[in-house]
Amino acid sequence: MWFELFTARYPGMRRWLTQRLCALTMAIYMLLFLLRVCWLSPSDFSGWQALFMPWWWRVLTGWFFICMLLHAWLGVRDVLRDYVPHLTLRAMLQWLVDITVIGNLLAAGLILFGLNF
Amino acid sequence: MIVKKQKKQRPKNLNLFTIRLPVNAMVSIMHRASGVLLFLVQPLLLWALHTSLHSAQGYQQVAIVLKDWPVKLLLSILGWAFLHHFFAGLRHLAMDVHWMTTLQKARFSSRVVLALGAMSTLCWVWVLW
Repeated sequence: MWFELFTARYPGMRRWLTQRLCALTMAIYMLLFLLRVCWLSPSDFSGWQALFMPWWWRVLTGWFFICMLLHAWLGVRDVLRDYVPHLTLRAMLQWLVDITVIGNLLAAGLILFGLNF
Repeated sequence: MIVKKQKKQRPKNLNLFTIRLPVNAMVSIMHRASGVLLFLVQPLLLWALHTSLHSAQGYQQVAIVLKDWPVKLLLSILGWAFLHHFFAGLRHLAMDVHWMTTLQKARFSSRVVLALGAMSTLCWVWVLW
């Protein structure tokens, strides 16, 4: 079945497909974002906050951030594999990238669903 | 042994100033470079989103920061990075489903991507400044 492509049996295919599906999702979200900005045309703080107020928009935005970070993580991983032949250095850089991605994901979650907002 | 010797004698040119990249390769490497750049500025984006949504003062603060010309310059560059990455990414997706894969068509779509990126960046810069 097609979803087998997302299992550990096909690790390369899984990464490749994930990155592309995330790209498609992000492209659709960006169009929706543009439409929403044109529709609501926020000009001050309350307008800007109203844009992010509906729960469904926050869920979509959260989904967008997950896709963006997965996409970026896979992309930077490929870049490191291509350009950093030194294995220890690459592992260290990859570790830094991993930490950054997890940090960004937590930050995005807190911004969208945190107590402060 | 012979193969090894041949490998050593093979002419090699990795001088970046004399290598001329074809337009497809330019679009591709710029897709990569812009992707890395966008990854690096994600924390800044998240900071701006957090501060501008957190309070009215934060919103004002971000609005003031965005009025500085160095920030506008950075945003112009980031705008290009995003737009090029977007259009070049769509081109890669099209090729993944076997659209425009002959050399001639790939060159054409590369030029389209460059043109779309340039035009949309101009629009973005016009709105921004």
